[in-house]
Amino acid sequence: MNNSLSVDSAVKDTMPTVFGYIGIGISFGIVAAASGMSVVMATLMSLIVYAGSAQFILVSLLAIGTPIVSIVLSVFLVNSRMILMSMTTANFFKKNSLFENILIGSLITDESFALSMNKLNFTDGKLSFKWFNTVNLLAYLVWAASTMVGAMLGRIISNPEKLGLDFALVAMFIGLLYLQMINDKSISLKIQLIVVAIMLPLVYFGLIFISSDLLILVVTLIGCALGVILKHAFN
Amino acid sequence: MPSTKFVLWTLIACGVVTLLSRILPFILLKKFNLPAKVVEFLSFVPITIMAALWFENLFKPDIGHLPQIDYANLIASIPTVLTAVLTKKLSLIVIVGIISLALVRLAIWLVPSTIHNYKINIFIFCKKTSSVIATYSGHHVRRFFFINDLTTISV
Repeated sequence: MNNSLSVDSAVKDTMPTVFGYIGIGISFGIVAAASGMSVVMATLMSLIVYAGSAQFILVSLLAIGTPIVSIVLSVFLVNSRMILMSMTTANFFKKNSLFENILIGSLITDESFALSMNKLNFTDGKLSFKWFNTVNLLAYLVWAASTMVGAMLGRIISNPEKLGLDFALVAMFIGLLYLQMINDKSISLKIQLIVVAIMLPLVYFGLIFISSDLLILVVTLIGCALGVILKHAFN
Repeated sequence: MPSTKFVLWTLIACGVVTLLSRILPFILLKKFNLPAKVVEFLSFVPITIMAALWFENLFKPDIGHLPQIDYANLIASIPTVLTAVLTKKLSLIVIVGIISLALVRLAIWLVPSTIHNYKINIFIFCKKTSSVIATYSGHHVRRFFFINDLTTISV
């Protein structure tokens, strides 16, 4: 990763994360096909909803005949962490047009958000529309294409977990988390380490009460609040 | 799976709420400025959300009980973290992660009884009275078990 915000460097920066999209996209396609969705429907879901983990939940809820209101509410709750990510990112696009803001927002994902937060450390705190939009578009197309491939494979393979591909995304978050911690100079490494360490018991004990998808939003909010308190306590 | 029409409407409705969660902050923040306190709060979002997305994968939730540890993901995380510290290269980190988990799964497959923990629930049903007369629920480290194992059947 370097300080260039061009289309070329966006493509380069996105390459390592593409594994994650392909791995999970194919897994999702297989799961959708296994639950009785057609290839077209599975691909449409990736194009219209475009929401990673929420899509897995959506398929399982559809399969058991859940009413539409409950499905929409679950998907909203699981994705409500997008509000936090969009709020954080929007601060870097205040000078861009409303249209560009909406375009960036429409296709933002956990991964492109994490990538952009890392990029900031190399660009003196700047992001460009060109760079972010390229990252987002690439991710969107790869996600839809892998869903389609997965849904087609779904007739042959039934167990997508076998190959270790589902770990691609986890590995990516581990990598981006580490890179973020060593590169973000605005918060001291000590505080970052403490906050990350606190997240582990928060997630562990939180899982007793809340399902894992909703838990991410809750523990993120708690983690941020603790971070602010710690930062002031140490300064 | 419900009718195509129902599925399509559900997709559209879910698409709309997801889109709104994504773009409303952008639209609102174009007009308004966030207070410094909120900006400071949001500066912790990247590390907390990434840590949460990682840690969530280290456990298998069991609502109402302590989650079980996902040993496969936990073990695969170790070489992945090491690769991050040593190389700082995202593509390498991801590849090492995938290979690590594949190897761990292979090991688990070769030695099934050491790591797997099977949860079983047994209900003994009385046809005459149409009711459950005994239940058994427990964790087993083997794939197969014998009726003698069920020492704690409650009647």
